[in-house]
Amino acid sequence: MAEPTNSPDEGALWQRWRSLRPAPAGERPDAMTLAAYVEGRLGLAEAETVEEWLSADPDLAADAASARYAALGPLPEAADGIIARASALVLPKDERVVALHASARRPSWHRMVRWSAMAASILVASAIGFALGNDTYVSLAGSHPAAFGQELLDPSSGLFTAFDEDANI
Amino acid sequence: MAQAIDLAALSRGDKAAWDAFVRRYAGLVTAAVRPLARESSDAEDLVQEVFVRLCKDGFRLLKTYDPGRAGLSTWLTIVARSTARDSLRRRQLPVTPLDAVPETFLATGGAPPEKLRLPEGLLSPRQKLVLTMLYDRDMEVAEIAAALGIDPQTVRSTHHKAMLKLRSHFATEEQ
Repeated sequence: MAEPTNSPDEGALWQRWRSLRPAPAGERPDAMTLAAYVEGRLGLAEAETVEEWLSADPDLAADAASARYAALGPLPEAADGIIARASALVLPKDERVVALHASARRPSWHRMVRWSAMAASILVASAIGFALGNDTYVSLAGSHPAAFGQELLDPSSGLFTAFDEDANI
Repeated sequence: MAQAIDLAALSRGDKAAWDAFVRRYAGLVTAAVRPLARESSDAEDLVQEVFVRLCKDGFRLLKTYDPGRAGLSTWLTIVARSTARDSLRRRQLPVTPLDAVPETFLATGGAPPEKLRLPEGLLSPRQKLVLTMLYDRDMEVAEIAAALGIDPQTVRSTHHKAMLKLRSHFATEEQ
């Protein structure tokens, strides 16, 4: 069989055909399908579909060729820096950051102490307030606390006495 | 000694499995993306992007790999190249100014569009692929044979039959 000459005549014939052919039908093959094709694991119909795409998409064809070459030889080595950088993408489980929840449980005694402290504060404040008020009452009332109490309850008797017409103003 | 990769542990995010996977395949990924990179520093960044893509979203992409359909090296090479091209497109590499392109490259061809129709299945997919590699990518017969995993003689035979079909078809159309 003669070697393809890649002659201008044949090239022109090919280009002419290319300008007329329709785009491949169906979805572009994914990586898994393309890999299966490269390894000859597809059925005839599926392989032909892939080849339609390979002839229309140079990138896809280059990927297939590259994958075929890669599968032939041993796995190459990589630089330590590249390995370290990629390895760092996954952390050990105990180093992973865990989001703290706002409603984290606290011990029940902690809540009890907190509420008790609040209740005690209210009681103390009330007692102090009462004591202060009582002291003030006693000091203002003097020796007749009852009379002072009457003055407080019925101020008019005291008020108008002071402003009586007969009084010296 | 080759270390088997525990895919189940890898998909769970096991650190030891991930480190073993990286040590084993980082070289393969580097070799896959290097032809696409403009500089060696670009190649390193592209390798990292491939591994990021493999482990992100709970190792979603890695979980799509099916060992029953193809080998991991084959699949990984294809994923690596695809990821690298996507990354380069996103970076929007500078384009060549129009003035720097020779005029012959800009020629659109004077021939009017053909009104001929191609019969369905004139060329088989294999024939189309061989002709694409020969004429569009300027590949040698030996290269095509290696790329397709077939015998060089088969490449020549495929080419010959395809050419016969094309000559016959266009000769008939022109009569």
